[in-house]
Amino acid sequence: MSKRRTTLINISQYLIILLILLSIYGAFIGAERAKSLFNSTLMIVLWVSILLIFIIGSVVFSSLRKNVSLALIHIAPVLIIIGGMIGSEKGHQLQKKYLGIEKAYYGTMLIYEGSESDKIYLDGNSFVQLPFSLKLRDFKVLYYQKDTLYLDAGGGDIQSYDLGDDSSIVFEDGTRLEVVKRFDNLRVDLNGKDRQIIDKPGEGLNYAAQVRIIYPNGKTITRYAFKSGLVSGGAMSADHISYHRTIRDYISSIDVIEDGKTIKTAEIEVNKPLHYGGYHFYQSSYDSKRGQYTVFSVHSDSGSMISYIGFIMLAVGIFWRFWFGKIFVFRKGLNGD
Amino acid sequence: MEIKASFLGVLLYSSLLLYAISAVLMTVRGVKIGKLLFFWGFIFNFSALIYRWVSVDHLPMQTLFEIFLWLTALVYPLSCFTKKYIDYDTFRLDVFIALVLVFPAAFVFDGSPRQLPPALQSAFFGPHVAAYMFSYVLMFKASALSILAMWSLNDKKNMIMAEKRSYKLVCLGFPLLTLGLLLGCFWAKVAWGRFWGWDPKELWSFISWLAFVLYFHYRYQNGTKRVLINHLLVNIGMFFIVVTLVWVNLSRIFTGLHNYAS
Repeated sequence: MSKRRTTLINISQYLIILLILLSIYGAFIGAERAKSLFNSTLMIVLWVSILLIFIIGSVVFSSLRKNVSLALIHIAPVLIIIGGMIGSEKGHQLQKKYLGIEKAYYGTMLIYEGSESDKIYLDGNSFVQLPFSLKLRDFKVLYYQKDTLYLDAGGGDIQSYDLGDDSSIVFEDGTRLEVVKRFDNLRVDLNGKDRQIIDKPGEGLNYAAQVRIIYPNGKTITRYAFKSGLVSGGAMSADHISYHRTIRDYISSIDVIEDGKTIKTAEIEVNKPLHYGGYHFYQSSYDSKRGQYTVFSVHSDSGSMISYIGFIMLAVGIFWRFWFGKIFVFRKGLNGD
Repeated sequence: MEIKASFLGVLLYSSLLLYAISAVLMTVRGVKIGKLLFFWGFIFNFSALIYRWVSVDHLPMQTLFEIFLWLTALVYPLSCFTKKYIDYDTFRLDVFIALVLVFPAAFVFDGSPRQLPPALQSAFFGPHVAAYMFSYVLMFKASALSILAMWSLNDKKNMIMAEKRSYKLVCLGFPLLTLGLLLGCFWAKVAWGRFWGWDPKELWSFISWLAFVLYFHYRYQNGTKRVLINHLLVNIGMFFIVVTLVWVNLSRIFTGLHNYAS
């Protein structure tokens, strides 16, 4: 190997070691500080050095140009880094300064059911106005069918009971607990002569269970268990009960409105964002008490496509190089590496 | 210590027992019967996995218990597969790997079933975790071969032969390690809006990947001239994998999106 090539490959290895050491440090300081570290000016120097090494490497090592799999493997990180730089916060600042492109890097959108919004809030009161708006038609939370009762038997001893089809639990002392009725959204109706416990699904998220506790001496009491815990006035050995459902999904049904017309309808869920107008809209949070508003985190799509192409090239190049270029050689035995 | 007093436990402890007897037999003598018991250990192990899959009603890749159940179940099939490609029978070594992996599933990790949270209900979930698990087992095998070779430092010929076998296993595992990392990036983009969040688990996965990138560059430059360093680099890569898989998931030092400690 020529001196020039040896120097270059040595530098590459030093850069990899440096990146490993910095990543180890980053792993100990937490995601937020690690993000600041890897986006700092000093790190930009490192990223640019890595880019240069890839470019110089493809000039010095002809195999990096001629061998397709090696070319893919070594061009891909260049694209991934460039895509990452364009999509970064600093990248957005530079695009605004030099190219006049004003695009929010990251923000949030809060929309109430039945209303619309065209503002991406960046921090506090500053916002970016979109040329279109999103209208929240409906927001719903879906739960798994299996639900659980948690019983605090005292002394911090909390036991969980998955409710089966018969929805009853029998304790060692013979006390029996039955779930009589489940509520998606328990409400107290005060309009009539007597107060009434009713279920109003879709108008809130106050799920609850009506439980009947039957003691060995025949005494029976009925109570309501909520996710927040205590069953009021309970007098059984385990008198603190809470009722839990596990969330399966959150769904925001929205309309994209541009110039007063509905351009698109979509359902935004976890793992199913909306991509529109240069932004990705993600289901991020919601009104956990009443289920009346949704919160989207909004991310700019700048640089994403370049990174996607880089990822695909890297995967194709590596499989090509290591599997299809070598597995067939493996069959010939150990001489063919 | 967590004892699983259930049908799943019966299957799991049966496989552990079979692996243990197989390891003893293959070490002392009786390789043939040892291999047969290794196979039956795998059958019980695989049955435990299927039973778990049916009982939780989703792909059982959510908890560390399930992950180790998978890792152990992959050892035997991958032993059969790699025997052909590295031209070397590693069953005797692999049964010990299976034992090491099945132990935490049997006695350490909580086996209670959990429902999949919305973030894990993704088409990326299975392929992302599966790619990592296949690669981890292959890297574990490569590392074990390297460690064994490093015991016989004076036998240079054996060191080189073992290094070539280890290299070929890394060549099989590295694309899957890359695939796991890239699918994770895609998934993060789809679920959270960014490819990379500088989360400790992401960083340790990246560190493991970089360690093997370093190994390939070093080996390209030096071949098998400094064979001991090649062996050491494979083990450094494996060390980072262990950190990623176990320490990061369980330690409260590395809090983040992938942490199980909380």
